[in-house]
Amino acid sequence: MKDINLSTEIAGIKMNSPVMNASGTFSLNNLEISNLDISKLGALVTKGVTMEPRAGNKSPRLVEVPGGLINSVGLQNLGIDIFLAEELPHWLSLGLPVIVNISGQNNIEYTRLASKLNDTGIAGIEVNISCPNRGGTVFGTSPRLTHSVVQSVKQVSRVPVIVKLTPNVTNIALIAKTAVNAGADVISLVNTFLAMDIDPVTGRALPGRGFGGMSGPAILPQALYKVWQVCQAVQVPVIGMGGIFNAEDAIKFFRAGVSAVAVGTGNFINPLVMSKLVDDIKEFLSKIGCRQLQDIIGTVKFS
Amino acid sequence: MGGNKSYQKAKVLANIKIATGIFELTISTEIAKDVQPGQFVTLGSLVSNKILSRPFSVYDNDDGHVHLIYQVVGPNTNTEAYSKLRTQDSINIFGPLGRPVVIDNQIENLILVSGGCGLASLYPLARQAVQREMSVSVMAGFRNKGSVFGINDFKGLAENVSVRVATDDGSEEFQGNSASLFTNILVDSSITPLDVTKTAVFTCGPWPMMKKVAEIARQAEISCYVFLEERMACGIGGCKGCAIKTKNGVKHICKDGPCFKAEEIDFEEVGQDERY
Repeated sequence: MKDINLSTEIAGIKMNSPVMNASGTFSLNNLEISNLDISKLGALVTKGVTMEPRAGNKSPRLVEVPGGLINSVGLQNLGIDIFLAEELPHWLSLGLPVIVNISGQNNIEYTRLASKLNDTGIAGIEVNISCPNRGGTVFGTSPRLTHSVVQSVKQVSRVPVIVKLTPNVTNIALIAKTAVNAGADVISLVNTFLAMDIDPVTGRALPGRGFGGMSGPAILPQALYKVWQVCQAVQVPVIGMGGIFNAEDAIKFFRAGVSAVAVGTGNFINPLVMSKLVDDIKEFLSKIGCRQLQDIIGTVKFS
Repeated sequence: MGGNKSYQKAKVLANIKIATGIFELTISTEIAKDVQPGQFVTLGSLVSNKILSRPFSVYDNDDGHVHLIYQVVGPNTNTEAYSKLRTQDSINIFGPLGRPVVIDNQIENLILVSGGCGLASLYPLARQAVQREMSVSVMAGFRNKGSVFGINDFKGLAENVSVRVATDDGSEEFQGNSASLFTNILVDSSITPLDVTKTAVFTCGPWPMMKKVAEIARQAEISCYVFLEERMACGIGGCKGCAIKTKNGVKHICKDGPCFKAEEIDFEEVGQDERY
Protein backbone atom coordinates (compact mmCIF):
# COMPACT_ATOMS: atom_id res chain seq x y z
CA MET A 1 0.00 0.00 0.00
CA LYS A 2 1.43 3.32 -1.03
CA ASP A 3 1.38 5.69 1.91
CA ILE A 4 -1.20 8.39 1.35
CA ASN A 5 -0.09 11.84 2.37
CA LEU A 6 -2.83 13.34 4.51
CA SER A 7 -1.09 16.62 5.29
CA THR A 8 -3.27 19.62 4.68
CA GLU A 9 -3.54 23.35 5.19
CA ILE A 10 -6.56 25.07 6.62
CA ALA A 11 -6.68 28.87 6.56
CA GLY A 12 -2.90 28.86 6.45
CA ILE A 13 -2.55 26.41 9.37
CA LYS A 14 -0.29 23.59 8.19
CA MET A 15 -1.42 20.22 9.54
CA ASN A 16 0.14 16.74 9.42
CA SER A 17 -3.32 15.30 8.96
CA PRO A 18 -6.93 16.47 8.92
CA VAL A 19 -7.54 15.00 12.39
CA MET A 20 -7.70 17.03 15.58
CA ASN A 21 -9.46 16.91 18.92
CA ALA A 22 -12.67 18.69 19.81
CA SER A 23 -12.22 21.35 22.48
CA GLY A 24 -12.44 20.01 26.02
CA THR A 25 -11.82 16.37 25.21
CA PHE A 26 -8.03 16.24 25.17
CA SER A 27 -5.95 17.81 27.92
CA LEU A 28 -2.31 18.05 28.87
CA ASN A 29 -3.06 15.17 31.23
CA ASN A 30 -3.36 12.95 28.15
CA LEU A 31 0.40 13.29 27.80
CA GLU A 32 0.74 11.05 30.86
CA ILE A 33 -0.36 8.16 28.65
CA SER A 34 2.86 6.38 27.71
CA ASN A 35 1.61 4.75 24.50
CA LEU A 36 -0.06 7.88 23.07
CA ASP A 37 1.40 9.22 19.81
CA ILE A 38 0.24 12.71 18.89
CA SER A 39 2.71 13.26 16.06
CA LYS A 40 0.19 12.32 13.36
CA LEU A 41 -2.44 14.79 14.50
CA GLY A 42 -3.21 17.95 12.56
CA ALA A 43 -3.68 20.31 15.48
CA LEU A 44 -4.51 20.40 19.16
CA VAL A 45 -7.48 22.38 20.42
CA THR A 46 -7.48 23.56 24.02
CA LYS A 47 -10.42 23.52 26.40
CA GLY A 48 -12.51 26.69 26.34
CA VAL A 49 -10.89 29.55 28.20
CA THR A 50 -12.73 32.54 29.67
CA MET A 51 -11.62 35.93 31.02
CA GLU A 52 -12.20 35.00 34.65
CA PRO A 53 -11.65 31.63 36.34
CA ARG A 54 -14.79 29.50 36.44
CA ALA A 55 -15.53 26.74 38.94
CA GLY A 56 -18.01 25.06 36.59
CA ASN A 57 -21.46 23.61 37.14
CA LYS A 58 -22.77 21.49 39.97
CA SER A 59 -22.39 17.75 39.92
CA PRO A 60 -23.26 15.32 38.58
CA ARG A 61 -21.94 16.78 35.37
CA LEU A 62 -22.16 13.68 33.21
CA VAL A 63 -24.98 11.36 32.26
CA GLU A 64 -24.52 8.41 30.00
CA VAL A 65 -27.39 7.86 27.58
CA PRO A 66 -27.75 5.21 24.87
CA GLY A 67 -24.89 5.76 22.46
CA GLY A 68 -23.88 9.03 24.00
CA LEU A 69 -23.09 11.31 26.85
CA ILE A 70 -24.76 14.44 28.21
CA ASN A 71 -22.34 16.85 29.88
CA SER A 72 -22.77 20.03 31.80
CA VAL A 73 -19.27 21.03 32.82
CA GLY A 74 -19.85 24.77 32.62
CA LEU A 75 -16.53 25.88 31.11
CA GLN A 76 -14.53 25.11 34.22
CA ASN A 77 -11.14 26.75 33.66
CA LEU A 78 -8.53 28.87 35.39
CA GLY A 79 -9.07 31.98 33.28
CA ILE A 80 -7.00 33.46 30.45
CA ASP A 81 -4.19 34.93 32.55
CA ILE A 82 -3.28 31.67 34.29
CA PHE A 83 -3.83 29.82 31.01
CA LEU A 84 -1.32 32.04 29.21
CA ALA A 85 1.24 31.86 32.00
CA GLU A 86 1.03 28.23 33.03
CA GLU A 87 -0.76 26.09 30.48
CA LEU A 88 -0.17 27.47 27.00
CA PRO A 89 3.64 27.02 27.05
CA HIS A 90 3.12 23.27 27.53
CA TRP A 91 0.73 23.09 24.58
CA LEU A 92 3.13 25.07 22.40
CA SER A 93 6.02 22.76 23.25
CA LEU A 94 4.32 19.76 21.64
CA GLY A 95 5.28 20.58 18.07
CA LEU A 96 1.75 20.82 16.66
CA PRO A 97 -0.39 23.82 15.71
CA VAL A 98 -2.32 24.92 18.79
CA ILE A 99 -5.83 26.32 18.50
CA VAL A 100 -7.20 28.05 21.57
CA ASN A 101 -10.94 27.87 22.17
CA ILE A 102 -12.38 31.06 23.71
CA SER A 103 -15.71 31.85 25.36
CA GLY A 104 -16.96 35.26 26.38
CA GLN A 105 -20.08 36.66 27.94
CA ASN A 106 -20.15 39.67 25.61
CA ASN A 107 -18.26 41.18 22.67
CA ILE A 108 -15.82 42.97 24.94
CA GLU A 109 -14.78 39.74 26.62
CA TYR A 110 -14.35 37.96 23.29
CA THR A 111 -12.18 40.75 21.90
CA ARG A 112 -10.10 40.97 25.07
CA LEU A 113 -9.51 37.21 24.91
CA ALA A 114 -8.56 37.43 21.24
CA SER A 115 -6.17 40.33 21.91
CA LYS A 116 -4.45 38.54 24.75
CA LEU A 117 -3.86 35.57 22.44
CA ASN A 118 -2.17 37.66 19.74
CA ASP A 119 1.58 37.03 19.35
CA THR A 120 1.57 34.05 21.69
CA GLY A 121 2.62 31.51 19.07
CA ILE A 122 -0.78 29.87 18.65
CA ALA A 123 -1.96 28.83 15.19
CA GLY A 124 -5.54 30.00 15.54
CA ILE A 125 -8.44 30.71 17.82
CA GLU A 126 -11.75 28.92 17.91
CA VAL A 127 -14.57 31.21 18.94
CA ASN A 128 -17.15 29.25 20.87
CA ILE A 129 -20.41 31.04 20.22
CA SER A 130 -22.48 28.34 21.87
CA CYS A 131 -22.35 29.70 25.41
CA PRO A 132 -25.02 31.97 26.90
CA ASN A 133 -24.30 35.67 27.26
CA ARG A 134 -25.42 37.77 30.20
CA GLY A 135 -28.90 38.14 28.80
CA GLY A 136 -29.29 34.39 28.58
CA THR A 137 -29.19 34.31 24.79
CA VAL A 138 -26.74 32.02 23.09
CA PHE A 139 -24.68 34.06 20.59
CA GLY A 140 -24.74 31.29 18.05
CA THR A 141 -28.53 31.13 17.85
CA SER A 142 -28.80 34.74 16.71
CA PRO A 143 -27.49 35.89 13.31
CA ARG A 144 -27.20 39.45 14.66
CA LEU A 145 -25.13 38.47 17.72
CA THR A 146 -23.07 36.04 15.65
CA HIS A 147 -22.19 38.76 13.19
CA SER A 148 -21.23 41.27 15.83
CA VAL A 149 -19.07 38.92 17.89
CA VAL A 150 -17.22 37.47 14.89
CA GLN A 151 -16.65 40.92 13.45
CA SER A 152 -15.34 42.18 16.81
CA VAL A 153 -12.93 39.27 17.16
CA LYS A 154 -11.72 39.58 13.57
CA GLN A 155 -10.95 43.26 14.12
CA VAL A 156 -8.38 42.44 16.81
CA SER A 157 -7.15 38.90 16.10
CA ARG A 158 -3.96 38.36 14.15
CA VAL A 159 -4.45 34.59 13.77
CA PRO A 160 -7.02 32.63 11.74
CA VAL A 161 -10.44 32.70 13.38
CA ILE A 162 -12.46 29.50 13.53
CA VAL A 163 -16.08 29.98 14.56
CA LYS A 164 -17.66 27.02 16.33
CA LEU A 165 -21.38 26.74 15.80
CA THR A 166 -24.10 25.34 17.98
CA PRO A 167 -26.41 22.86 16.22
CA ASN A 168 -29.35 24.06 18.34
CA VAL A 169 -30.75 26.36 15.65
CA THR A 170 -33.39 26.11 12.97
CA ASN A 171 -31.25 27.36 10.10
CA ILE A 172 -27.59 26.60 10.62
CA ALA A 173 -26.67 27.59 7.06
CA LEU A 174 -27.82 31.13 7.83
CA ILE A 175 -25.65 31.32 10.97
CA ALA A 176 -22.65 29.90 9.09
CA LYS A 177 -23.04 32.41 6.22
CA THR A 178 -23.41 35.22 8.72
CA ALA A 179 -20.19 34.19 10.47
CA VAL A 180 -18.32 34.02 7.16
CA ASN A 181 -19.67 37.42 6.10
CA ALA A 182 -18.38 38.79 9.39
CA GLY A 183 -14.92 37.43 8.57
CA ALA A 184 -14.74 33.85 9.91
CA ASP A 185 -11.81 32.04 8.28
CA VAL A 186 -13.06 28.57 9.18
CA ILE A 187 -16.32 27.14 10.50
CA SER A 188 -16.32 24.25 12.95
CA LEU A 189 -19.37 22.29 14.04
CA VAL A 190 -21.19 20.78 15.77
CA ASN A 191 -21.04 21.69 19.40
CA THR A 192 -23.30 19.50 21.56
CA PHE A 193 -27.06 19.08 21.17
CA LEU A 194 -29.14 20.29 24.11
CA ALA A 195 -30.47 17.33 26.04
CA MET A 196 -31.63 16.16 29.43
CA ASP A 197 -32.32 12.95 31.27
CA ILE A 198 -34.71 12.28 34.15
CA ASP A 199 -34.15 9.62 36.77
CA PRO A 200 -37.38 7.62 36.53
CA VAL A 201 -37.23 6.62 40.20
CA THR A 202 -36.30 9.89 41.91
CA GLY A 203 -37.64 12.23 39.26
CA ARG A 204 -34.41 14.14 39.36
CA ALA A 205 -33.32 16.02 36.21
CA LEU A 206 -29.84 15.17 34.99
CA PRO A 207 -27.11 16.39 34.71
CA GLY A 208 -27.19 18.37 37.97
CA ARG A 209 -27.88 21.66 36.23
CA GLY A 210 -31.03 20.10 34.77
CA PHE A 211 -29.82 19.84 31.19
CA GLY A 212 -26.62 19.67 29.21
CA GLY A 213 -25.09 19.04 25.82
CA MET A 214 -25.18 15.64 24.19
CA SER A 215 -22.29 14.10 22.29
CA GLY A 216 -21.14 10.69 21.18
CA PRO A 217 -21.97 8.20 18.43
CA ALA A 218 -25.71 8.77 18.87
CA ILE A 219 -25.50 12.33 17.50
CA LEU A 220 -23.47 11.49 14.39
CA PRO A 221 -26.35 11.48 11.88
CA GLN A 222 -27.72 14.75 13.22
CA ALA A 223 -24.27 16.32 13.22
CA LEU A 224 -23.58 15.06 9.71
CA TYR A 225 -26.72 16.70 8.38
CA LYS A 226 -25.88 20.07 9.98
CA VAL A 227 -22.31 19.80 8.69
CA TRP A 228 -23.50 19.01 5.17
CA GLN A 229 -25.86 22.00 5.25
CA VAL A 230 -23.01 24.29 6.27
CA CYS A 231 -20.64 22.87 3.64
CA GLN A 232 -23.27 23.73 1.02
CA ALA A 233 -23.65 27.26 2.34
CA VAL A 234 -20.09 28.53 2.76
CA GLN A 235 -16.87 28.64 0.77
CA VAL A 236 -14.45 28.63 3.72
CA PRO A 237 -13.02 25.38 5.13
CA VAL A 238 -15.25 23.47 7.54
CA ILE A 239 -14.08 21.31 10.44
CA GLY A 240 -16.65 18.60 11.11
CA MET A 241 -17.31 16.81 14.36
CA GLY A 242 -20.04 14.93 16.14
CA GLY A 243 -19.76 11.30 17.21
CA ILE A 244 -16.70 10.46 15.10
CA PHE A 245 -14.95 7.36 16.41
CA ASN A 246 -13.55 5.50 13.41
CA ALA A 247 -12.46 5.98 9.80
CA GLU A 248 -15.89 5.20 8.36
CA ASP A 249 -17.39 7.93 10.53
CA ALA A 250 -14.72 10.42 9.45
CA ILE A 251 -15.11 9.58 5.76
CA LYS A 252 -18.81 10.40 5.98
CA PHE A 253 -17.90 13.92 7.11
CA PHE A 254 -15.29 14.28 4.35
CA ARG A 255 -17.85 13.19 1.78
CA ALA A 256 -20.18 15.84 3.22
CA GLY A 257 -17.49 18.39 2.41
CA VAL A 258 -15.34 19.06 5.47
CA SER A 259 -11.63 19.81 5.23
CA ALA A 260 -10.82 18.27 8.61
CA VAL A 261 -12.49 16.31 11.36
CA ALA A 262 -12.34 16.52 15.14
CA VAL A 263 -12.79 13.73 17.67
CA GLY A 264 -14.51 14.59 20.93
CA THR A 265 -16.20 11.98 23.06
CA GLY A 266 -14.25 9.28 21.19
CA ASN A 267 -11.18 10.38 23.15
CA PHE A 268 -12.97 9.32 26.34
CA ILE A 269 -13.80 5.90 24.94
CA ASN A 270 -10.26 5.28 23.72
CA PRO A 271 -7.59 7.87 24.50
CA LEU A 272 -5.45 6.57 21.61
CA VAL A 273 -8.23 6.85 19.03
CA MET A 274 -7.06 9.94 17.09
CA SER A 275 -3.74 8.48 16.03
CA LYS A 276 -5.42 5.25 14.98
CA LEU A 277 -7.97 7.30 13.06
CA VAL A 278 -5.21 8.86 10.91
CA ASP A 279 -3.89 5.40 9.99
CA ASP A 280 -7.35 4.03 9.35
CA ILE A 281 -8.37 6.95 7.12
CA LYS A 282 -5.29 6.26 4.96
CA GLU A 283 -6.15 2.59 4.77
CA PHE A 284 -9.76 3.34 3.91
CA LEU A 285 -8.82 5.76 1.12
CA SER A 286 -6.35 3.30 -0.28
CA LYS A 287 -8.90 0.51 -0.24
CA ILE A 288 -11.42 2.48 -2.28
CA GLY A 289 -8.74 3.62 -4.71
CA CYS A 290 -8.24 7.22 -3.63
CA ARG A 291 -4.74 8.64 -3.77
CA GLN A 292 -5.42 11.73 -1.75
CA LEU A 293 -7.96 13.04 0.69
CA GLN A 294 -9.05 15.69 -1.81
CA ASP A 295 -10.54 12.93 -4.02
CA ILE A 296 -13.24 12.24 -1.50
CA ILE A 297 -14.14 15.65 -0.07
CA GLY A 298 -17.67 16.70 -1.01
CA THR A 299 -18.42 13.51 -2.93
CA VAL A 300 -21.77 12.78 -1.34
CA LYS A 301 -24.22 11.61 -4.02
CA PHE A 302 -27.98 12.10 -4.10
CA SER A 303 -29.88 9.68 -6.30
CA MET B 1 5.84 10.79 26.53
CA GLY B 2 6.10 10.99 30.31
CA GLY B 3 3.84 9.13 32.66
CA ASN B 4 3.11 5.49 33.26
CA LYS B 5 -0.52 5.37 32.20
CA SER B 6 -1.36 3.07 29.36
CA TYR B 7 -4.45 2.06 27.38
CA GLN B 8 -4.33 -1.45 26.03
CA LYS B 9 -6.16 -4.60 25.13
CA ALA B 10 -5.55 -7.23 27.78
CA LYS B 11 -6.46 -10.85 28.42
CA VAL B 12 -8.69 -12.18 31.14
CA LEU B 13 -6.89 -14.74 33.29
CA ALA B 14 -9.78 -15.58 35.61
CA ASN B 15 -13.23 -14.35 36.54
CA ILE B 16 -14.58 -15.99 39.67
CA LYS B 17 -17.80 -15.49 41.61
CA ILE B 18 -16.71 -14.84 45.19
CA ALA B 19 -20.05 -13.94 46.80
CA THR B 20 -23.65 -13.32 45.81
CA GLY B 21 -23.47 -11.11 42.72
CA ILE B 22 -19.81 -10.29 43.39
CA PHE B 23 -16.92 -11.34 41.16
CA GLU B 24 -13.16 -11.17 41.15
CA LEU B 25 -11.72 -10.48 37.71
CA THR B 26 -8.04 -11.13 37.10
CA ILE B 27 -6.51 -9.46 34.05
CA SER B 28 -3.04 -10.07 32.66
CA THR B 29 -1.59 -6.65 31.96
CA GLU B 30 1.70 -4.83 32.29
CA ILE B 31 -0.26 -1.93 33.79
CA ALA B 32 -0.26 -4.03 36.96
CA LYS B 33 3.35 -3.32 37.83
CA ASP B 34 2.71 0.41 38.14
CA VAL B 35 -0.44 0.31 40.27
CA GLN B 36 -0.10 1.92 43.71
CA PRO B 37 -2.55 1.70 46.64
CA GLY B 38 -5.52 4.02 46.12
CA GLN B 39 -5.39 3.79 42.35
CA PHE B 40 -7.90 2.40 39.90
CA VAL B 41 -8.24 1.29 36.30
CA THR B 42 -11.09 1.61 33.83
CA LEU B 43 -12.45 -1.20 31.72
CA GLY B 44 -13.89 -0.63 28.26
CA SER B 45 -17.64 -0.88 27.81
CA LEU B 46 -18.89 -4.22 26.49
CA VAL B 47 -22.51 -3.16 26.20
CA SER B 48 -23.09 -1.85 22.69
CA ASN B 49 -25.12 1.26 23.47
CA LYS B 50 -23.01 2.31 26.46
CA ILE B 51 -19.84 4.18 25.64
CA LEU B 52 -18.00 5.10 28.83
CA SER B 53 -15.33 2.95 30.41
CA ARG B 54 -16.09 1.77 33.94
CA PRO B 55 -13.77 2.60 36.87
CA PHE B 56 -12.71 -0.09 39.38
CA SER B 57 -10.35 0.07 42.32
CA VAL B 58 -7.48 -2.34 42.03
CA TYR B 59 -7.99 -4.93 44.76
CA ASP B 60 -4.62 -6.56 44.37
CA ASN B 61 -1.78 -6.57 41.85
CA ASP B 62 1.56 -8.12 41.12
CA ASP B 63 3.96 -7.52 38.24
CA GLY B 64 1.65 -8.97 35.63
CA HIS B 65 -1.92 -9.03 36.91
CA VAL B 66 -4.58 -6.80 38.36
CA HIS B 67 -7.43 -8.18 40.44
CA LEU B 68 -10.68 -6.23 40.38
CA ILE B 69 -13.75 -6.88 42.49
CA TYR B 70 -17.10 -5.81 41.17
CA GLN B 71 -20.75 -6.27 41.85
CA VAL B 72 -23.25 -6.98 39.10
CA VAL B 73 -25.61 -4.03 39.40
CA GLY B 74 -28.39 -5.14 37.09
CA PRO B 75 -29.41 -6.57 33.73
CA ASN B 76 -27.95 -5.04 30.55
CA THR B 77 -25.17 -3.40 32.52
CA ASN B 78 -21.47 -3.60 31.91
CA THR B 79 -20.95 -5.35 35.22
CA GLU B 80 -23.26 -8.08 34.01
CA ALA B 81 -21.29 -8.29 30.75
CA TYR B 82 -18.00 -8.43 32.68
CA SER B 83 -19.38 -11.30 34.77
CA LYS B 84 -19.60 -13.35 31.55
CA LEU B 85 -15.95 -12.84 30.60
CA ARG B 86 -13.97 -16.04 30.39
CA THR B 87 -10.29 -16.89 30.49
CA GLN B 88 -8.49 -15.61 27.36
CA ASP B 89 -11.23 -13.11 26.49
CA SER B 90 -9.96 -9.62 25.65
CA ILE B 91 -10.89 -6.38 27.35
CA ASN B 92 -9.67 -2.79 27.04
CA ILE B 93 -8.01 -1.54 30.19
CA PHE B 94 -6.70 1.95 31.05
CA GLY B 95 -4.56 2.82 34.01
CA PRO B 96 -3.20 3.19 36.54
CA LEU B 97 -5.43 6.17 37.33
CA GLY B 98 -5.91 8.28 40.43
CA ARG B 99 -3.60 9.59 43.08
CA PRO B 100 -1.65 6.95 44.98
CA VAL B 101 -2.31 6.87 48.72
CA VAL B 102 0.67 6.82 51.04
CA ILE B 103 -0.25 6.40 54.69
CA ASP B 104 1.37 9.11 56.82
CA ASN B 105 4.62 8.17 58.52
CA GLN B 106 3.46 8.70 62.08
CA ILE B 107 0.52 6.29 61.72
CA GLU B 108 0.78 3.06 63.71
CA ASN B 109 -2.86 1.97 63.78
CA LEU B 110 -4.81 1.76 60.58
CA ILE B 111 -8.59 1.39 60.69
CA LEU B 112 -10.42 0.39 57.53
CA VAL B 113 -14.20 0.73 57.42
CA SER B 114 -16.10 -0.51 54.40
CA GLY B 115 -19.57 -1.13 53.08
CA GLY B 116 -20.13 -3.78 50.42
CA CYS B 117 -17.68 -3.73 47.52
CA GLY B 118 -15.98 -0.72 49.07
CA LEU B 119 -13.81 -3.24 50.88
CA ALA B 120 -11.96 -3.83 47.61
CA SER B 121 -10.46 -0.31 47.60
CA LEU B 122 -9.04 -0.81 51.08
CA TYR B 123 -7.10 -4.03 50.59
CA PRO B 124 -4.02 -2.34 49.03
CA LEU B 125 -3.89 -0.01 52.06
CA ALA B 126 -3.93 -2.99 54.40
CA ARG B 127 -1.07 -4.46 52.40
CA GLN B 128 0.89 -1.23 52.65
CA ALA B 129 0.20 -1.00 56.38
CA VAL B 130 1.33 -4.56 57.04
CA GLN B 131 4.56 -3.98 55.14
CA ARG B 132 5.16 -1.01 57.39
CA GLU B 133 4.29 -3.07 60.48
CA MET B 134 1.21 -1.11 61.50
CA SER B 135 -1.67 -2.74 63.27
CA VAL B 136 -4.71 -3.03 61.04
CA SER B 137 -8.35 -3.20 62.11
CA VAL B 138 -10.86 -3.93 59.41
CA MET B 139 -14.57 -3.32 59.87
CA ALA B 140 -16.38 -4.68 56.87
CA GLY B 141 -20.10 -4.28 56.40
CA PHE B 142 -22.16 -6.42 54.04
CA ARG B 143 -25.83 -6.86 53.22
CA ASN B 144 -25.93 -10.44 54.46
CA LYS B 145 -23.86 -13.59 54.89
CA GLY B 146 -24.02 -14.39 51.18
CA SER B 147 -22.40 -11.11 50.18
CA VAL B 148 -19.37 -11.44 52.46
CA PHE B 149 -16.03 -11.63 50.63
CA GLY B 150 -12.34 -10.98 51.12
CA ILE B 151 -12.17 -11.57 54.85
CA ASN B 152 -9.58 -14.33 54.61
CA ASP B 153 -7.46 -12.20 52.28
CA PHE B 154 -7.19 -9.53 54.97
CA LYS B 155 -6.66 -12.07 57.76
CA GLY B 156 -3.98 -13.76 55.69
CA LEU B 157 -1.88 -10.59 55.49
CA ALA B 158 -0.53 -10.77 59.04
CA GLU B 159 -1.29 -11.92 62.56
CA ASN B 160 -2.06 -8.42 63.74
CA VAL B 161 -4.79 -7.76 61.19
CA SER B 162 -8.13 -7.96 62.97
CA VAL B 163 -11.29 -8.26 60.93
CA ARG B 164 -14.82 -7.64 62.16
CA VAL B 165 -17.83 -8.24 59.97
CA ALA B 166 -21.21 -6.55 60.19
CA THR B 167 -24.25 -7.65 58.22
CA ASP B 168 -27.42 -5.65 57.80
CA ASP B 169 -29.54 -8.68 58.71
CA GLY B 170 -27.23 -10.15 61.33
CA SER B 171 -26.70 -13.35 59.35
CA GLU B 172 -22.95 -13.09 59.93
CA GLU B 173 -21.29 -11.75 63.08
CA PHE B 174 -22.45 -8.30 64.19
CA GLN B 175 -25.88 -7.05 63.14
CA GLY B 176 -25.69 -3.50 61.89
CA ASN B 177 -23.35 -1.50 59.76
CA SER B 178 -19.62 -1.02 59.82
CA ALA B 179 -19.93 2.56 61.06
CA SER B 180 -21.45 1.15 64.26
CA LEU B 181 -18.54 -1.27 64.53
CA PHE B 182 -16.25 1.71 64.24
CA THR B 183 -18.08 3.47 67.07
CA ASN B 184 -17.78 0.34 69.18
CA ILE B 185 -14.08 -0.04 68.63
CA LEU B 186 -13.46 3.46 69.89
CA VAL B 187 -15.12 2.65 73.20
CA ASP B 188 -13.71 -0.88 73.37
CA SER B 189 -11.33 -1.01 76.31
CA SER B 190 -9.02 -3.51 74.63
CA ILE B 191 -8.05 -0.92 72.06
CA THR B 192 -8.37 2.27 74.02
CA PRO B 193 -6.65 4.35 74.96
CA LEU B 194 -5.91 4.63 71.30
CA ASP B 195 -3.27 7.20 70.47
CA VAL B 196 -5.37 9.24 68.09
CA THR B 197 -2.36 11.02 66.64
CA LYS B 198 -1.00 7.66 65.47
CA THR B 199 -4.31 6.39 64.09
CA ALA B 200 -5.94 6.91 60.71
CA VAL B 201 -9.21 5.63 59.31
CA PHE B 202 -9.95 5.03 55.64
CA THR B 203 -13.49 4.37 54.55
CA CYS B 204 -15.12 3.25 51.32
CA GLY B 205 -18.74 2.39 50.78
CA PRO B 206 -22.22 3.93 50.63
CA TRP B 207 -22.33 7.67 51.21
CA PRO B 208 -24.35 7.67 54.49
CA MET B 209 -21.90 5.17 55.99
CA MET B 210 -18.85 7.19 55.02
CA LYS B 211 -20.45 10.36 56.30
CA LYS B 212 -21.10 8.67 59.63
CA VAL B 213 -17.56 7.31 59.83
CA ALA B 214 -16.13 10.75 59.05
CA GLU B 215 -18.27 12.31 61.76
CA ILE B 216 -17.22 9.75 64.37
CA ALA B 217 -13.57 10.20 63.39
CA ARG B 218 -13.85 13.96 63.60
CA GLN B 219 -15.25 13.77 67.13
CA ALA B 220 -12.53 11.34 68.14
CA GLU B 221 -9.93 13.56 66.44
CA ILE B 222 -8.71 10.72 64.25
CA SER B 223 -7.63 11.62 60.72
CA CYS B 224 -10.11 10.22 58.22
CA TYR B 225 -9.97 9.57 54.50
CA VAL B 226 -12.89 8.76 52.23
CA PHE B 227 -13.01 7.09 48.82
CA LEU B 228 -15.39 8.97 46.53
CA GLU B 229 -17.11 7.86 43.39
CA GLU B 230 -18.61 9.85 40.52
CA ARG B 231 -19.50 9.41 36.91
CA MET B 232 -16.34 9.98 34.87
CA ALA B 233 -15.43 10.02 31.21
CA CYS B 234 -11.71 10.50 30.61
CA GLY B 235 -10.31 9.23 33.94
CA ILE B 236 -7.34 11.62 33.82
CA GLY B 237 -8.68 15.02 34.86
CA GLY B 238 -9.30 16.34 31.37
CA CYS B 239 -13.04 16.26 30.87
CA LYS B 240 -13.86 17.88 34.24
CA GLY B 241 -16.84 15.56 34.53
CA CYS B 242 -16.12 14.18 38.00
CA ALA B 243 -15.43 17.51 39.66
CA ILE B 244 -16.38 18.06 43.29
CA LYS B 245 -16.26 21.30 45.19
CA THR B 246 -14.00 20.78 48.20
CA LYS B 247 -12.95 23.17 50.93
CA ASN B 248 -9.73 23.56 48.93
CA GLY B 249 -11.43 24.39 45.64
CA VAL B 250 -12.62 22.26 42.75
CA LYS B 251 -11.02 18.79 42.67
CA HIS B 252 -11.44 15.87 40.32
CA ILE B 253 -12.19 12.47 41.72
CA CYS B 254 -10.31 10.69 38.95
CA LYS B 255 -7.08 12.64 39.32
CA ASP B 256 -6.97 14.24 42.77
CA GLY B 257 -8.77 11.25 44.31
CA PRO B 258 -10.55 8.94 44.54
CA CYS B 259 -9.25 9.09 48.14
CA PHE B 260 -9.67 12.45 49.88
CA LYS B 261 -9.15 13.76 53.38
CA ALA B 262 -12.62 13.76 54.93
CA GLU B 263 -12.09 17.29 56.27
CA GLU B 264 -11.80 18.56 52.68
CA ILE B 265 -15.24 17.28 51.78
CA ASP B 266 -18.44 19.19 52.38
CA PHE B 267 -20.62 16.20 53.17
CA GLU B 268 -23.83 18.19 53.09
CA GLU B 269 -23.10 19.67 49.66
CA VAL B 270 -21.97 16.45 48.04
CA GLY B 271 -24.51 14.32 49.87
CA GLN B 272 -27.39 16.29 48.41
CA ASP B 273 -26.84 14.52 45.16
CA GLU B 274 -28.12 11.27 46.66
CA ARG B 275 -26.10 9.37 44.18
CA TYR B 276 -24.21 7.12 46.53
